[in-house]
Amino acid sequence: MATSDDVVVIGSGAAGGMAAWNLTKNGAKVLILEAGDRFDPATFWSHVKPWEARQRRRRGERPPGFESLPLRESPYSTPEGQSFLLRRVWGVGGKTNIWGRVSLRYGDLNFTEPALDGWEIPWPVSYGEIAPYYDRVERLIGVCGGEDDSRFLPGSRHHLPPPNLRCGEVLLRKGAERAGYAVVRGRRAVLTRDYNGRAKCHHCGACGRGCDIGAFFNSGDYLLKDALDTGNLTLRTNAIVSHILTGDDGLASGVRYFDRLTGQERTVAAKRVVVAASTVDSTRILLNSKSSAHPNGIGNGSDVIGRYLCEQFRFHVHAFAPQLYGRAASNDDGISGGHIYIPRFEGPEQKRDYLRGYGIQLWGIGCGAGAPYAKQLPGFGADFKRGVKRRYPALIQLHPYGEVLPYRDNRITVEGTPPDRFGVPTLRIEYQLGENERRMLPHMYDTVEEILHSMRAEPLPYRRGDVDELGAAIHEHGTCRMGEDPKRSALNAYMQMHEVPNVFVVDGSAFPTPTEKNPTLSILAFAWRATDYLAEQMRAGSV
Amino acid sequence: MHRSTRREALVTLAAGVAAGPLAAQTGRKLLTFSESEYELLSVLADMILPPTDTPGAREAGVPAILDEDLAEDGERLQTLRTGLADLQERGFRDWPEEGRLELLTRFSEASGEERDFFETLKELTVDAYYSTEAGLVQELGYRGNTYLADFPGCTHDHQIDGDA
Repeated sequence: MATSDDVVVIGSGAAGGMAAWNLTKNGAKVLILEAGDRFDPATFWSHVKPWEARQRRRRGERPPGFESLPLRESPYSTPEGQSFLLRRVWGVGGKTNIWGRVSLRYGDLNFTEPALDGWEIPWPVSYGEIAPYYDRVERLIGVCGGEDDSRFLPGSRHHLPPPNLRCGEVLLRKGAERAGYAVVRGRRAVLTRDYNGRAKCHHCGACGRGCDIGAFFNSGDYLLKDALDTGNLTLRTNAIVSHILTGDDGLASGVRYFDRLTGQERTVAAKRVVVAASTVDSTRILLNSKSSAHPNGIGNGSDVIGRYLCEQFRFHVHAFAPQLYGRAASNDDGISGGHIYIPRFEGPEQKRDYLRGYGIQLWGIGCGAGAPYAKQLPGFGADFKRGVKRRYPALIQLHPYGEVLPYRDNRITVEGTPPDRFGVPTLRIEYQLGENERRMLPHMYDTVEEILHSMRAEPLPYRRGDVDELGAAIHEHGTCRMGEDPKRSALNAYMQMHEVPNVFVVDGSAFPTPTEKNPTLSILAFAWRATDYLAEQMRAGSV
Repeated sequence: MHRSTRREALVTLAAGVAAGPLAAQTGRKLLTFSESEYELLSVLADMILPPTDTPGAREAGVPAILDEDLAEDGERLQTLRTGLADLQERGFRDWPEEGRLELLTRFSEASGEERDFFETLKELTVDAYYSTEAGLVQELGYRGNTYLADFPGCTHDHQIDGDA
């Protein structure tokens, strides 16, 4: 049980990687417990074309199964009639191995409006306080983007050059602007020029299969490598954490985990614990960490942990820009994903019968590695085949993301759930949209339809009012939120537990609201700030 | 790297092109379909995506892909199999082309089982075809997933109401 580590970090994704990077840089000895294995970029199928992939599969080869482990090791359940798509990556780097790379600063508005509209508690941090950390994160990892700056999406002086627009995006931008919406360059953690000793993106378009050269930010290449170089980091893989242990004083004293390969239960002593296993798994660990001092789960005297689960709800509309029909095919991979974005906007006051808002990712996908739209076109035969080809360069997509308010009964629980193979209770996720989302949704469709109409696009069939499966945005938040009031929040403004000062929770679970934006950039900024504070407290001898 | 990838691709293409006929002619072991189901499926796939100035579904190896992929897709396999049996019973393979076309057109406009069969057949054929090198590269002109130092993006002056 003895350890010489100053801090035990649970998880190695964006949050855990940043915690380890910053703490080891500050001279602390850190042990990371990572539930999965290492991923080897040499095994990524980044440059395997669809027909080559089939040949490989015939030979029995498989690409790395980024998401297969957690479902097997720690399945989750939902109440009957509900569904929640929980996507997790267990393995070094976590979800940063395959993330969408969208990197949007939260703005003053995102931080202040919960206090104004009452949903649900105020953020304990202002934009001014976190802005310097956004600067540092962007300089460290490299984020491409434009020069725009607004109260909905604060600007940055550190952006790498944005990628050129695809044909479909030129038309999408013109259509959106004609309809009155401001369009900005997408912001993504992709290196559009050589940066900090790393080679730039070579536009192979297969980011979702992992980047074999690390041209987009991922925790393993960008944070853990540096942290290991300090000599202060021990990275223990295949260590599935089940509990944080506490002593008689109620403080954390250790961490229990199971060796995934041998099934053996192990315990490591801990002076300080940084929890960064991603929102849902962190919550599982916290709620399962019951003791006489913490009968409701560690640090959960307030009964807020597990509650207020929130993210964004979204839908997708696929359409064609008929101006591009019949053109010669081009390589439209770019940096993969949309190159432009419509930030949240004001909207006419009289139409605002909902709180918060939505942003829209726009992707002129063009000549992709398939024709998924083909089966939706009518008919068959030679004419049909010609129609598929004619439309191939013209495919575009619109993806609106709307903010879901934090509701007390949208929650994660572990009581009465089936145990995993180690006997540890698994997760149950209850999650439904509320009235505000139902009001916002028609406006999201209106905006999309205005843009389609303005650019004379021809949409593929869609049903107004449909939403993507809940959870599909993969931006879970809220279940271990920070706030000033210990009765209504679990963490203070530095992500330190109100009730257990030697435990910090630095992933997305700490965010009291999801905002309409993708969170990873903010998770990195907040984790950096929290661990600056922790390092300071350690130097002062107070944690 | 680029060059060897292309060479590999050409080899793969040759294999893909041969896969359809090979399965029937050389007795390559079918995983899912019977020989007669496979032959009928090949005829139908080619009706969905016929050869033009580029290969059709059969030549692109679609029937072989479906034979592999459907081994673990019970629901769609059942739909397909029911429809194939129905057509076999009607002697579809011996019909003149005109009659075949007429029937498939009727299926595509029908409802119920006939429509389900058509939609399943079409979806499977189309998704498989546009994942082959023949469908993606020869037919559509796909040039992606390659090393591209600089991304030029749109070099035209597209206007909503017609290019300038």
